[in-house]
Amino acid sequence: MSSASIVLPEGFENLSQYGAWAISRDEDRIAKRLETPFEEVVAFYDAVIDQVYEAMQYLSTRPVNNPSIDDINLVNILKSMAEIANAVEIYHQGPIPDAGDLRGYVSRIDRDLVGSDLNE
Amino acid sequence: MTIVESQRPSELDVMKDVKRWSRRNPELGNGPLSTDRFISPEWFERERTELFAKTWINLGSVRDLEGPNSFFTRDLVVLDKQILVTMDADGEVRSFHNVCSHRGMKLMWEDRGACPRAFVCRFHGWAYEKDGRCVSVPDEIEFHFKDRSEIGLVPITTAVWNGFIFVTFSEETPDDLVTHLGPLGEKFESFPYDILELDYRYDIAERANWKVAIDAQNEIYHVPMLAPVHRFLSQGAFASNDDGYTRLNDFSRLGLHTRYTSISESYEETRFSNAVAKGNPAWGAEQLLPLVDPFEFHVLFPNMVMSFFGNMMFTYNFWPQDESNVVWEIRLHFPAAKTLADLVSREFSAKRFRDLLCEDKSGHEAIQRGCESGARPYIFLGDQEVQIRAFHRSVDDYLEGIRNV
Repeated sequence: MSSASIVLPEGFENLSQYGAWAISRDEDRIAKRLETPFEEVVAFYDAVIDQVYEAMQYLSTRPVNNPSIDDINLVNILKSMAEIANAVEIYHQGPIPDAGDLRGYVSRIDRDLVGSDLNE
Repeated sequence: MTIVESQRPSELDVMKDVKRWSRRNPELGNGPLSTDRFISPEWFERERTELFAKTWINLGSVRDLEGPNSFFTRDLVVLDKQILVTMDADGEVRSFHNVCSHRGMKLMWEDRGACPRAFVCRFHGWAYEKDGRCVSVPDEIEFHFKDRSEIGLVPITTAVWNGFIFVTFSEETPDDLVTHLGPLGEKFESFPYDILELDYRYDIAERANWKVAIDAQNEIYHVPMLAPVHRFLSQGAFASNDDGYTRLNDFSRLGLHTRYTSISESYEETRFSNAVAKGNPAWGAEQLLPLVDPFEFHVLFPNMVMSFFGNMMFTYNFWPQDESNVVWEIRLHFPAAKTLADLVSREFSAKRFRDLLCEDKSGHEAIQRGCESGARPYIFLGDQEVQIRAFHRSVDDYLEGIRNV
C-alpha cells in the first residue's frame, strides 16, 4: 500500500497522510475497499468523517471545471469515503454479505477529474 | 412542462384500506402465478417469437452516443441480432443490422465511438456511410451487382422518443412507438431529458430469468427484510404502515406499462450521508421532475424500467439471454454537477444505490433456483405486488396476440 503524502486544500492538510485513498478510478476504489484490512478502512473513515461537512462546504464553492490538484485529491478522498461509507456504517465489513461481487459493479462510465474516458 | 397526475389517494386510504389495489383492478385477478413462465424453454421461445420479435425494444438513449457523428453497437441475443446505431452530423439516429452486405461479417466490432470516415468491414474492406449507403467495394469490377444501392446496410425500424432509442423487428406493420408507449408516453411527453447526464452504467450478468429480475425490482415489499442497506432504507425511504410494511401510495396501469409510487418519510441518516447532504444542500434540493411523488417506478413494457428517486433517474434494461440468464443493464442519470461538491454527492447517491442493487443480485439467482426446483408450480402475489401481476398480464396478453395499448 502506498503511503504517499498528498497536497490538500488549506484546512485539510491533516489528511495528507491518506494519499493511498485519493483514488481517481471507480475500479481502484472498489479494489481498495475490498483489499484493505477492515480495521484500516475504519481507521480511514474515523480520520475523515469529522471533516466531511467542512470539506463539502468548501468544495461547494469550487466549480467543476479546471480543478486544482489539491482540490482533486480532496474530491477523490471523499469519493473513497462514499465507496466505504456503507461498509463501515451499515455492513461493518468490506464486502456486501450474501450479495454479488462488487468487482462486477465497476461503472462502464468512469469520468475522473483529470480527463473523461469510458472504462470499457 | 406539463405532467398531469391523477389526484393522489389520501394517506389514510393507502395505509388502512387493505387489498385496495386488487379491488381497484379486478381484471388482474388474485390467483397464484405459474412458475413455467420463468423456467420453461418453450415459454421463452414464445417470448422470442411472439413478444420480442414484435414489440418495440429500447436500446438505450442518445446519451449512449457521443453526440453527432458517433455510433454504438449492441448484440441483441434474444433475437440473435447485431445492431449498429448511428447518429449523423445533423443528429439523426438510425439503426442497421451490424452485418456487412458482402459475406455476412460483423461490421463494427467496437462497443461505441466516434464515426470513422466510413464503417469499413475488416474482412474485405467494404465501406458504408452513416446512412447505410455502401460507398466503396475494393476490386468492385469483379462483382456482379448492378449498382451499389443494392448493397447498403439493412436498416432496422428505429424511433427516438425523448432521447430514448427504440427499434422493432416486427414484420407486420407495428404500432408506432407513440401508440406503443400509450399513456406512459403522454405522461412524459415533455420530459426534460436534456437536463440529465448519463453518469454511471453497470452491466450485471445474472443466472435468472429476465422476468424474475424485473419482478424482484418491481416491488418494495421486500425492502424491510432482504438485506442490510434495504433494511436501513426501510426506515423511511418508502412509505410504511404502523407495522413497518411498505405501502404503495399509488399504482396505475398505463396501457402495457405500469407505474407505482411511494413517498419517503424523514428518517435518521448515517453520519456520512448527513455530512454530505448538509455540507452541500444545493444538490438534490430541487426535485428532478415535478412529479407528485418523489419515488416513481415505471415498467416500460416489455423489458425496461424508468424510475425517479429524488434528483436521480435510473433506467434498467433486462436483456434475456435464454430462459435462465439475463444481463441487467443499469444506468444512473443526474443533473449536471456544477461544483466539486456535487461530484461527491452524486458519487454517494450512486454508491448507496449500487450496494442496494448488489444485495438484490443473489436473491434474483436464488429465486430462479427455487422455481427450477419444482418445489411448487406457482408463486403467490400480495396486494402490494399488484404491479407484478399487471406486468405479467401485459406479457400474457401480448403472447396471446392481445394488444391492450
